[in-house]
Amino acid sequence: MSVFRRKARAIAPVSETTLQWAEETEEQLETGRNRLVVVGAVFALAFTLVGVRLVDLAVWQGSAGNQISLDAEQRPSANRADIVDRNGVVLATNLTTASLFAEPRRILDAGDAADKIVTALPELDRQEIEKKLTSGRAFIWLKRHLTPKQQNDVNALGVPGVGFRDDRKRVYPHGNLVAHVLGYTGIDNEGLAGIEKQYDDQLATVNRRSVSVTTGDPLRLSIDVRVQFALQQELSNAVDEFKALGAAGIVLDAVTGEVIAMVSLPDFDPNQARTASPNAMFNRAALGVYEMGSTFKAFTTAMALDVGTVKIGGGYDATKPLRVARFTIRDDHPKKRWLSVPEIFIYSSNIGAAKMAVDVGADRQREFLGRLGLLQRASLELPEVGTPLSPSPWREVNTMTVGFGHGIAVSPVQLTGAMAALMNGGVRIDPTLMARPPMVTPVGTRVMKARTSSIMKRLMRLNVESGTGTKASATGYLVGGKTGTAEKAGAGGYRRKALLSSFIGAFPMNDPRYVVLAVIDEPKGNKKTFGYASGGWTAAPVFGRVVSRIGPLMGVTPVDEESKSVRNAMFIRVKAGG
Amino acid sequence: MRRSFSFAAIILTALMSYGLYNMKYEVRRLEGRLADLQQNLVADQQAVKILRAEWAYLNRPSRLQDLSGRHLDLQPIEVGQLTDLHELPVQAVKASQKTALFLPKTKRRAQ
Repeated sequence: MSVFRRKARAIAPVSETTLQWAEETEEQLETGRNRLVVVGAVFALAFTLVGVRLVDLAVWQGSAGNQISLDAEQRPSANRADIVDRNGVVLATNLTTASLFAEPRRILDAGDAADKIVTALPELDRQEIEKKLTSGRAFIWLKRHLTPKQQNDVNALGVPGVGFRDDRKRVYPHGNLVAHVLGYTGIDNEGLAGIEKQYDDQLATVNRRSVSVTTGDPLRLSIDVRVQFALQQELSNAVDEFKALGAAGIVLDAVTGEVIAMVSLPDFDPNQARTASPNAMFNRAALGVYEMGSTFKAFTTAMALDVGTVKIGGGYDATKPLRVARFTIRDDHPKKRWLSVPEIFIYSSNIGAAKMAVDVGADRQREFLGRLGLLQRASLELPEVGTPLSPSPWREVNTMTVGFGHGIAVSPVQLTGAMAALMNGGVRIDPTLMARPPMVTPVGTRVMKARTSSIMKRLMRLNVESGTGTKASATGYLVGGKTGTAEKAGAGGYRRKALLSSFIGAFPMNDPRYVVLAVIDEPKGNKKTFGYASGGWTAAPVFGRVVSRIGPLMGVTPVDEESKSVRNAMFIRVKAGG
Repeated sequence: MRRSFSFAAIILTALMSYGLYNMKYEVRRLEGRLADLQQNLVADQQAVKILRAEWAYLNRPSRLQDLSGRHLDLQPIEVGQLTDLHELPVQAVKASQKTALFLPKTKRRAQ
């Protein structure tokens, strides 16, 4: 620009007109220069911005941008977090499998290719494969989820036009063992039942955020597979022995509310859930609601003692069957005399329990059972949780029948949760399937006096020592419990031969930690039980064997049951005034 | 002056082009390596998952029970085999042994 200025000065001393012309030119030049400067500045600014943005992307956000692109590229179609038991044993995981596909347009000799493929995968139908290969489509699945060996065999054939694609399969290494708790997933790895359904969102999103296939914390359950196995095996032995329809069992930590084991029989293999029958899928431990029978007498006794309508030294006359409305309440093991409260409990007297309940009254009974969680749906983390059935309206006859466990249907989970409150000193804690952090005791709600709980422990112990539950004893583990034998309701009343036999108890009774429930659906008596199919003959032995097996696993120190200190701690006067 | 400036600019451009070319290929190489590593990582993670699943499968309690029944002479622990430390009978220890064990060295010599 200065070039022009110098030239203009050089020719300056000429005429007026030329001078004027020069001035005009200079003005125009000045305008042009100014415009150039403005444009230049704009460009410079634009380039600076681009530069700054480049530095920003390359230096500051470099790694983040990289991550996003990798994530999108590698994310498998439907990944899911693992589910592990309380000790970290894998219960459910995702495996990458190979699925075999074909591109029929690239197949040279369909017949030959089909022959070869069938030699490697004999379970496939040759005709069908050939039909697929000649379909002329661009892409078709031949078989999904091949084992590594099958994949290797197919690879070795060297058939052109077929290939593998990565697929994801939900795998349950323990098969049937934890089936009802875990549930199962569908073809696209979406949860369809159990924990898989309840925590579907959480299990599915855990991995969506991360790059790798394994990161994402697994979901830790409160289940212990070793305890689960002991319970399942003993229950299935009992089902075989008594030719029962099914069985259910629960082991609950009475202090933390954690469900250590939950079994429902018959069960199914969640790896092949589609082939399972609805009966096998049905969760008897959580979804099924049953009239539990005599096990309810534990709640009736606790209620009467807690409210104070009867003292532990008191009792009721059970000489004659009780008539109310059109019902007659009889005893299964009639003593035909006055019975003390402990006697009513250990001889499982329906008459005594009914009278005890009537003295407490319908309102207080309903309120007490409600506090124990027996009238509302359990808050367990499963989609399959049964809603209890309770009488409505709640008349006096209902008060009586509920007193010995009829006319009210609850799920085994509810029963176990309520029993835990009776055993742990009187605090209600909701049962949970999630592992709690160690050393953290959940805060429950007090539902009865600690003294009532203390008496109930002694009564439960007494029942195993010299009542209906003697077959439940497990040497050294100081078990206590209550039998239950309920006739199942059928069309037009109760069916005498169709029983629901159960045993619920806890151990060690001096400081109960674990509550165990065993329910057997329609057991048939055999020679060994002299034809009896009641809870004391069928479910109680299961309870005893389960406790003997899981006691050492859970680190419960055995005690000498005959020692003086234990005897004193468990002492209770059976005969009133005696 | 102007000529040398232009000359320097040309040289600089050539150098920078060369630098950019080198950098680009270096980046491409590194990206390839990164992709390789990522792929290996995923493959290893998948292998670990499979091994963990297999470990869980092989450790099914039913299988362990069966194997232990066939190959080991082990039995479940009997209640009688367990006891508390303080329930063990106290063994009578001689007085001389006691001193030998619990007194400091100098005293022991003095005796």
